[in-house]
Amino acid sequence: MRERNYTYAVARIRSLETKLLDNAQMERLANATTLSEALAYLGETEYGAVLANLKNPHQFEDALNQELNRVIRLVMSLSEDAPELRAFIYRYDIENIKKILKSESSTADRLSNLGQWSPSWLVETMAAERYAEFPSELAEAIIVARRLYKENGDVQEIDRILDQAYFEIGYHLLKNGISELFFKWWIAMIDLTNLRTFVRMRLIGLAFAEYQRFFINYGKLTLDQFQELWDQPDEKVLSWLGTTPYDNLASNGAEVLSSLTVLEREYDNYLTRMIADAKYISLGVEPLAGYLIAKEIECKTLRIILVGKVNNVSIIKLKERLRRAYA
Amino acid sequence: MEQWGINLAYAGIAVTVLFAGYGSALGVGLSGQAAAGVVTEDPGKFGKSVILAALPGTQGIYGFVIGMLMYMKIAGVDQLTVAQGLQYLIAGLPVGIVGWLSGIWQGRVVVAGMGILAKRPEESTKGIIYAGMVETYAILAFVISFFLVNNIR
Repeated sequence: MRERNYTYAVARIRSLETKLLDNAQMERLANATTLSEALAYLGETEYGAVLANLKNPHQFEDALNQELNRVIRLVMSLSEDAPELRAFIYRYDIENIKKILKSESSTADRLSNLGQWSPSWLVETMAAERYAEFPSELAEAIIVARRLYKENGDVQEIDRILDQAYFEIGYHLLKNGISELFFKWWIAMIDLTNLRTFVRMRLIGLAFAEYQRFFINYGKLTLDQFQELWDQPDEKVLSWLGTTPYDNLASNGAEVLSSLTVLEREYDNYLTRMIADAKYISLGVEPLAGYLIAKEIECKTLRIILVGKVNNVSIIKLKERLRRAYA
Repeated sequence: MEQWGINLAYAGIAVTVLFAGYGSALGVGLSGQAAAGVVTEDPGKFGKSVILAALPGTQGIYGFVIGMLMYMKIAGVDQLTVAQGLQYLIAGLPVGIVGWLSGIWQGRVVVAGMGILAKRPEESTKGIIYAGMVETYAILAFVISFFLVNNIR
């Protein structure tokens, strides 16, 4: 689609952005004393329509999925199924394919309906091994993952190979796409995913050879840089992080390397901040993706708050996990 | 050969109306789509969106006025010299070309202005001011074309 053809879509998205929850609303939700109180407040927002059908307050997960599904379908239809946007929703398909591969008897009702392909079509296509119907990189990855899983029964192989395929597909889609912002955002996501794996594996105490297997190519941060830092103390890793484009994360101090909760939050905040540049693009596909990502992060934050309320997590702990709002 | 003068003058009218009208049609098309997007989510903003969406339409009107002015001057004239015909053609160019380009760009400014209307309706006048800045150049071109046409003897 030409940039000019996004006028209707962008204007509609600008209106929808006003209904996104802001930081103050998230704080108010986190301050709720019970799940019912949080849901009652959420019912006054754009989520009112999906929450109205809830029979049991504990089914909020279905309501969030329903809302996210509505937004994904809307954005895809407004963009006339732009390939650049498909890269963003393939992740749901990848998660579905992982579930099918890990349990050959998987049925469609256990899968997410947020992806590009319907769960029933995925189950049927995977069962019939019609891999040619997937993009070539994905088809190749499915064949390799299935073979390795059959050989050694290690489910991690499925995650590793399909995650790498996901980032590779997105990289190729966005590299030749129409948006430089998307491409930079994707590279940042690869780098931050590598950083997250690095921190997680170091915390567990695994060897670098293991990290090497999970490393995703195409990022700005190289494997050699991570290798040099593998046995270094946190202070050294932190000072190196301050010299990279991800120096914002280093401003949180050593906590970002010792707490996965903080790292996950900063990971999302960085990507939200980056895609928020789409707000200043008056015409093009970027505002659509910005809204889509904002909605995904919003649903994620709401899930954290509501699950926290179910499990009686303290308000202070909940607030530590709140993501920065796009609005 | 004696018809060349009148033919050039007709070409001048066509160029003036065609280019300025094309710019406006495209500009209003862009702004109309954006207005529809805003109104889909918030029908209460229809009134304000109409004012913004109509702004790129003025270039077409300027082109039409100059075209009419030229037509009225040559109506009933049987013959024009080539030089006179060329003067009509040249006189139409400022409003035609500037109207064409400014119509499109004003449409883009209005699309951005629709974002202001969507997010901060109380500030939407600022969107009109930004679009008005583009209008300035269409008005300047209109004035020059007007004087040029009136100066043709």
